Amino acid sequence: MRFAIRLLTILIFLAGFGILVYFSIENNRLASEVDRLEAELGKMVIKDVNRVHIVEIAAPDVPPEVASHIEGVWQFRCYLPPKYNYMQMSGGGRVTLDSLYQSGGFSSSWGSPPSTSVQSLLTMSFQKKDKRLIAFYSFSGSRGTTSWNNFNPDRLATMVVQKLVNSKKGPRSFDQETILPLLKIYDPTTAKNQEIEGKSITTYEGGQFVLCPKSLETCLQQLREGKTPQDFNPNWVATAVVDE
Amino acid sequence: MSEPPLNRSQAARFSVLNLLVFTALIAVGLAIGLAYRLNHSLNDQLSQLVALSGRLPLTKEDELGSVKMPAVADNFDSWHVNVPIGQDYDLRLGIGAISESGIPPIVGSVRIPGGQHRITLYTGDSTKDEFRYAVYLDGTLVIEKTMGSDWMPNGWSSSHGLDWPRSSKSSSSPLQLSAQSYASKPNLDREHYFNGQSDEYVTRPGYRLWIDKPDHTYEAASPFMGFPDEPQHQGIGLRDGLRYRMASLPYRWIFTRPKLETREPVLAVEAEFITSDGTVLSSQTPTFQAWKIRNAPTGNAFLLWQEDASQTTQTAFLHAVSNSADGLQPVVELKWDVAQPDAVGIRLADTPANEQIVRWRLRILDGSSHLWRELQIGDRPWITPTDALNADKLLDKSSVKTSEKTPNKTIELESVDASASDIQLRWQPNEKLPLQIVEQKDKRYAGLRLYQGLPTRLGVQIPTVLKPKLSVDVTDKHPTNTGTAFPGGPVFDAIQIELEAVERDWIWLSAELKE
Repeated sequence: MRFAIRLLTILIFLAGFGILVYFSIENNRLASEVDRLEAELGKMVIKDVNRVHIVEIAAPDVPPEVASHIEGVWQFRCYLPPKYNYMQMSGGGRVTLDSLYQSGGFSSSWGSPPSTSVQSLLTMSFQKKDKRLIAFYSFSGSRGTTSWNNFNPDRLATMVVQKLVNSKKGPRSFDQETILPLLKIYDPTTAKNQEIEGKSITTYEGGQFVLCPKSLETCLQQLREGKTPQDFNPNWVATAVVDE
Repeated sequence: MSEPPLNRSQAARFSVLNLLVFTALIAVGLAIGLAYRLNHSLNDQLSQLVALSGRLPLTKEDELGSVKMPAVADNFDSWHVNVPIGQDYDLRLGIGAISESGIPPIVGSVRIPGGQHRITLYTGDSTKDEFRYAVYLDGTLVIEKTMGSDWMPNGWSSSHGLDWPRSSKSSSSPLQLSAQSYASKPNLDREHYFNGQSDEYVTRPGYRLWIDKPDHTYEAASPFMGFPDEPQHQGIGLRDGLRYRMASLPYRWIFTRPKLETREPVLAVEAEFITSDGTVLSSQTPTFQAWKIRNAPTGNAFLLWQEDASQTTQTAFLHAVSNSADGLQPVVELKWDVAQPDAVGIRLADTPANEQIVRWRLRILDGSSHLWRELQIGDRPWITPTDALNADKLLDKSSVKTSEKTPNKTIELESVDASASDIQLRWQPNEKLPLQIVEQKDKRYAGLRLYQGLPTRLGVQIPTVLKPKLSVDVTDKHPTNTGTAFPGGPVFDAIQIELEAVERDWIWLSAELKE
């Protein structure tokens, strides 16, 4: 009897050890695979599941046959919390450096908020079509284009790009109730002083792509028109990352 | 009384060794638990990252599979695909007439070797790009086809994705990468906004890109709809022609023609059946329950059409179902013929249930929502509702009888030409534009819920042997605003055809695009 108990104990111990070795090898393989993909897609640790997390992908995977048809591409890995109700807005015309003002055409779209958290890639790119610059976006199953008017596509290489999140600075997280100007592109040589809503501001040819909580849709609309919403708190708008 | 001495060899004893063994077992158990949780978490992370990256899962190397890559540019779509090693597959692009049930003509095909590949499809689907389609395999252009701007001269208003045909019979399923069908824009001025509402079963311009066995061939999609694997709510009949659909009003027969860019009924018909003893089945018969679509003139067998490429006609039977066993329960036969793509045939079925019927009457309804204001008998001149009311100006006075009904006037039209084998009656709206545009532009029509499809001409062809009596209902009253005239003048609200039931000849109802 004692021998049987000892034998059983040894067998359990050996089986447990075997399982542990299997998991250890398998987890190492998975971890290296995760590391490899995170090196491509950006590493992001979700500490607070109720905040929006965004990391820029340093080198988006663009097939060469497609790359030859686009002028620039930016890609972000986004974590969207459960029930995050947002809209996206893209438009081009004239923009300012430090506000959401934008003249010219724009398009906006939204969907129903997801019941669980989702991770999605947000891609923005430009294509030249008939001497116009077409801004393309693809995000969370939807895609679309807008024509960025007054935007000289031949000067795209000299444009200044402001990003909310930068691959060099790593991931950032934001409160759900924050307007996220993900990307702003402008031509610094086209500065013009304009009187907008009683204020003198400097505008540039350019455009922007913004994610906005639905609750702040009216606020975004007013800011886009150069107005200051009632009881406006500057913290409602996230600021772009600054390169050192 | 003394207790028996304890057998030390059998009783559990505390020892350091036992404690160590027990502790080691717990430690291994805990380590396994932690490793399992970590494994679960890593698997979740990995599957999320793989889904984001558009990479192929590494575990399915022996299966034909694909993962769509994140879209990075307009008009470009890319996929990572895995083709099993040692098996032959072709990458095929088909462009042309397409429907949910059909495969378009193959315009390009290339052998795709086993292993992992990247496929990119470029869709230059605009008149400016002349509808140019290009397929790249691992970065190399392998298929290119330009359809030309004439393919859809006015462009397209909407497009939607298509699944692989459900009825496709093949031992191994092809792998479809992309399929779209386009709703061509009608030839309208730019200032007119037309919102067409067709369905995915209608044949339209489009494309499919798929990977398939080289020996797989496909027959053209059946021109008929109503096979067991198709949804019955889309109607039965001709894919691009008239389809019978169950109506919300149980007595009414409705026919749709989604090819005319609407799913709304294009024809709504109510029939009356009269027996020799005066019994009538009509929409007012309280014992009537429903029209059931059946496979045969007798029995209760459900419609069971067999898909056969050589078949050029299909028939179905409408059985009237009554609460009362003694009630009149006629059976009407419907027929679709590919030679008559705009029409549906109707006749009393040759069955004992119809033997008592001596006359029957078809009322074609809803003229006020179609703005029927032009009507033609045979090759006589077209007449308007006002002409019909004052028919003595156009026809012999003796040929027109007017009876007053509220709110409509019923006008009998003497129309039989005994020398002809058929009588043809045609009617249409007086508008050239789709009525949804007329409704947008002319506020007088607001709230009338006009027909939403393209301008439609309707017609009926009746054998003279059935001795038809034709009459029309004309209304000049607004259907909802009492005391107000019908906007734009009177319309033919209903067309009525009374027939003898002695012969079983076909009556052909038609709906076609108004020229």
